[in-house]
Amino acid sequence: MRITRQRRLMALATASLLTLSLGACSAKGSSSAAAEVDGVKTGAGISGDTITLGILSDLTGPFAALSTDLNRGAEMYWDELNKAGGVCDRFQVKLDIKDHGYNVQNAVSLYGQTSQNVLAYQTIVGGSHTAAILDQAEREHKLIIPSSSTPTLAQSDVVMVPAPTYDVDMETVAGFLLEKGLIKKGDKIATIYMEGDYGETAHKGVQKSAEENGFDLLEYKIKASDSDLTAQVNDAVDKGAQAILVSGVPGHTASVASVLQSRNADLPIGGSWPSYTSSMFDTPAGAYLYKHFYAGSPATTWDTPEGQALYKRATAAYPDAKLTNQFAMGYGMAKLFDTALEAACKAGDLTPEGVVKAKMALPPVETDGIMPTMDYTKPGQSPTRSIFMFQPDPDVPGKLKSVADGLYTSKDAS
Amino acid sequence: MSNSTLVRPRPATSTRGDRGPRLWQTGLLAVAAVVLLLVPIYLGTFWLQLGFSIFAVAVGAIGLNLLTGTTGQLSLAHPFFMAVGALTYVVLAGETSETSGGTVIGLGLPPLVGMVGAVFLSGVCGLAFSPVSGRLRGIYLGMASLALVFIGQHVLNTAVPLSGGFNGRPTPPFELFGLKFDYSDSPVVILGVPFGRLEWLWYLGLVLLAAAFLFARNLLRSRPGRAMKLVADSELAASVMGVPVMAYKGKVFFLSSIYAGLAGVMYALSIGSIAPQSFAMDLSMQFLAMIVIGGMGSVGGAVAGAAFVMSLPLVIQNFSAYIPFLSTDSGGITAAHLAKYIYGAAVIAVLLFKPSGLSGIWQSAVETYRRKTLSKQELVPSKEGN
Amino acid sequence: MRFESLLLTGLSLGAVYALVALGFVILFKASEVLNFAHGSLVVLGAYVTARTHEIFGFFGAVLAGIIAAALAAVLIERLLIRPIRNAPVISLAIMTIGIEVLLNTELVRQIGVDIMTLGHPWGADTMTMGSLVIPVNRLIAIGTAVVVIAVFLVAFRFSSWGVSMRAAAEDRETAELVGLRLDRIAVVAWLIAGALAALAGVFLTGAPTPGLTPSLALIALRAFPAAIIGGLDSVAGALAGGMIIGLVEAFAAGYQSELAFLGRGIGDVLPFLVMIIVLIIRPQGLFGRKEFVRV
Repeated sequence: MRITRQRRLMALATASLLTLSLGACSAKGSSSAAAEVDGVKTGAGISGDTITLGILSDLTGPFAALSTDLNRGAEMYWDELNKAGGVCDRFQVKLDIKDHGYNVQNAVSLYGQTSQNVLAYQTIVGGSHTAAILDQAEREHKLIIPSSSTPTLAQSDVVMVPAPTYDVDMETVAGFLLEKGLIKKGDKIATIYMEGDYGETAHKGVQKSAEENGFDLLEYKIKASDSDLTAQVNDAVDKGAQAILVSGVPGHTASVASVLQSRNADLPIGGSWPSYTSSMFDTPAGAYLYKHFYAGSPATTWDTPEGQALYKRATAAYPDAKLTNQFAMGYGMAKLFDTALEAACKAGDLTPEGVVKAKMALPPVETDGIMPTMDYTKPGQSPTRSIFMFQPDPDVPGKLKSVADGLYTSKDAS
Repeated sequence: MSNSTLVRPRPATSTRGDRGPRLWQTGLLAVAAVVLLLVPIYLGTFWLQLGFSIFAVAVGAIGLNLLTGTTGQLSLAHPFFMAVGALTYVVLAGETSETSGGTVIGLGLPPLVGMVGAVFLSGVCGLAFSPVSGRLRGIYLGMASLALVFIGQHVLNTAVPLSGGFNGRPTPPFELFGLKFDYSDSPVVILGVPFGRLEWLWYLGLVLLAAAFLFARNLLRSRPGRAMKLVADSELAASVMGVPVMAYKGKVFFLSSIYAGLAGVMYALSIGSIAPQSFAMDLSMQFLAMIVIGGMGSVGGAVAGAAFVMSLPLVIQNFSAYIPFLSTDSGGITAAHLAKYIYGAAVIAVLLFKPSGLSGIWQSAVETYRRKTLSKQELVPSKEGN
Repeated sequence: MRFESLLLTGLSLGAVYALVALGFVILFKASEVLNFAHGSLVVLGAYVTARTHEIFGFFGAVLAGIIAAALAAVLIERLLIRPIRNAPVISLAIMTIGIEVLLNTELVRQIGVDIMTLGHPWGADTMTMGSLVIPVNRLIAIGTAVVVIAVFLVAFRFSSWGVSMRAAAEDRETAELVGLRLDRIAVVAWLIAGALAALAGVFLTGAPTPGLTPSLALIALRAFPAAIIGGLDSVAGALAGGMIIGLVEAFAAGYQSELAFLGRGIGDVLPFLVMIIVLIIRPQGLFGRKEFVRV
């Protein structure tokens, strides 16, 4: 017995000594040396002349469709830029794509995994996911373009939202329907919106439009996983709605159209910019959507001159893919990001802090017609009040036909 | 009677057996302890975050193992009790603030109080549910427990002032004796390494897991533990032996929900925020996978299973560059898919081929080693009479 | 008007849930296992149908879906359930969970981002009965379900398989002693359960839902409470349970604005709430048989 206890104490002592002595050898505490390339300060995320940008994407969850094309668009932009010499004619850009499956916890872990090795985040899919890591990103000065556009995100110094905020988006859509005479002031309008940052922000925009135009609102809040909106739509139609505004995922929009079609109804559907994908138009409800669906896109539809040029290059790069215009959005997002990088490089500082500083000093950004002029000088405000308004059309590539000569700004939203 | 007894093989359990751990076991433990204590000194964010998540889930897995592995009550409700724990901690220890979902209430109490309160409340919920669980057999209990998960989700989504709704709310950082487990501009430096949130959390997790582990293991080795095992094998036999079956099942449910509550607090600390989707049905399935892969009924197995299932998706993603067929397109196989294939297949494989799981594999290895060393001692004359 | 339309929706949904719940009960009686992988069988059948409807035409595709799901079920039984059929009930249940994880992951990955159509020939057609407008899909669902269930009940009562199965479910040991081939009974049971699941999938993806999406698995999940409410060992219970859940779901969705005080989305939880309430009152389900254990 004594032997055993002695042995145990010896083991404890040895272990403690071992721990302390081994611990003293760690190199973890020493900070990484700052570096310089050609007079430009570099730090995390740049090794030699390669910049690594992170992408935290949803490749397996409800926004997988959107995310894939978003990534492809960004990839093509950086490929083209790399071939033309790279950022500042000096740095090649590499993308590090990770999948969080629309799960906030995974997004946080992946952020922790990648943040030391990336300069900034080209794309983060999911408003709540971005919100969860925002504190840390601000602390580490990582610039982010989220795939989501809420005023809360737009407030942050490290965020560039790539689209009008959801409330402005829906205000514009409602304004468009009003302008085209599809609805009148004082009409009953149904609004179906998804729970979460996205839907609830969009809903605020609808409410604002309702206030200004005297709409009588029928409100329905739904979940991301709801796939059958029969009850809501029936309720709305029975109560005399003249139009339905949808801020959900494409499945929701398709369901709304299905129900309206089966009732032989004739209501216009106004959608937010995440609420559609082109595969939606192939479903039995497609016929209804072609006639009655209107939505805005933050990036150009394929049928504007800039869109056509992009489409040619896109289909050449991805011949087998059914490209949606989310591709254009991804491309536009990369272009926005590039603007910040170029500005940082010109200022001689491509450390994460330098990139954020450069972004904050940017004047309104032009993207050669891919996106509207984006103004990041007023944190918390929507960077633009215009979208590319469209209606689906089976004969147009990407199936989205612009209906307002490209960029549209509603009188309400301006 | 002669003093030496020759050619009598020693029994498999040596006479020294219950009097203390063998030397090599102590040695192994010491090495493991040293390694674990040194991790924050050497390794970075990814491993620290992964480690703490594993500790959190392992605590939960130990609790579920007591319930399902040892007492045989199939429960999918673990995420529910974790949610209760997490939500209570966040409300008790957080501050009233604005989130994108609206105003959320916080009482601003010390985080330690929050943790204790959280564990207490999940226990109470477990106690409240145990009369129901006691009356239900096998599969019916499984489904009823699944119902709890959905109810929990609904409450988390709807009780916006408490939970922040769909987007959730941030977790207040833990604090002990004035030391905040949070980011700081002037961190404490130990052995040359700045100790931030993740470093402190690692040690906290280690301590909590060790406590949870020891408690469970001692419980199982005691009389109540044996009674629990009997209840699993045959409630009839247990009743005949005088074991108050209903009371035992209730107590174990209570205990398991306490574990889950603690796991919930740790989980909330590890993610940094709580959101309803973190406590959904697929977590139930992951927990069952953990205890099956680890070996049902084994406390150490539960921890091993937890480590396995928890680290799979993150490790695969981290090393995805080395796995050729992984793709980042939504049409291909992503790391998340691969992780699910692996642990789904692992559950099936374990149940088909090695029901005692990882702990069974470990035991077999130990037995083989022991047999090898014992065969040398077979013919040694015994000095003491047996 | 709203009430009647919801009633009809509820009945048609209930009929489809009954098909799935019936599959559960058959499996429980034959193998004493609650098949957590059943939702994936529903999705599998629908998926195969969606993939093949352009090659085989709709009805050929439905047949293909049924065969696929039935085959998958049989494979599961032979390769994964049978080897451990004497293991504790919990192990069997967890085995099906493992299968569910695998199947579901692969199916969701295959369906991916698309909304797949099954090519129902009646598409989004509706029929107007008085002031009620009901999708033809739902009417055909009720009709088909009624026919299938009736055929099944007759077979269960009178066919040799049905009698054997009831005997085996009643008392396994005696059934074996009497010479009944438990293995064969199990295979047929899983075959039927798979087929029923596929059939349900066809209707659950028709109008007014837009088509097959990964969320079909969640919908199929609602059949679990249906089977439990009725009692896992009762065929009549499966029907009753299915109907109850279908009606609860339809009315919860239809009256959701009135129910909003319970929190939006209560419709998802309601089937499970009802299930818990039933279990508290009758732990063996409405039609299940109470096991008496005397000590």
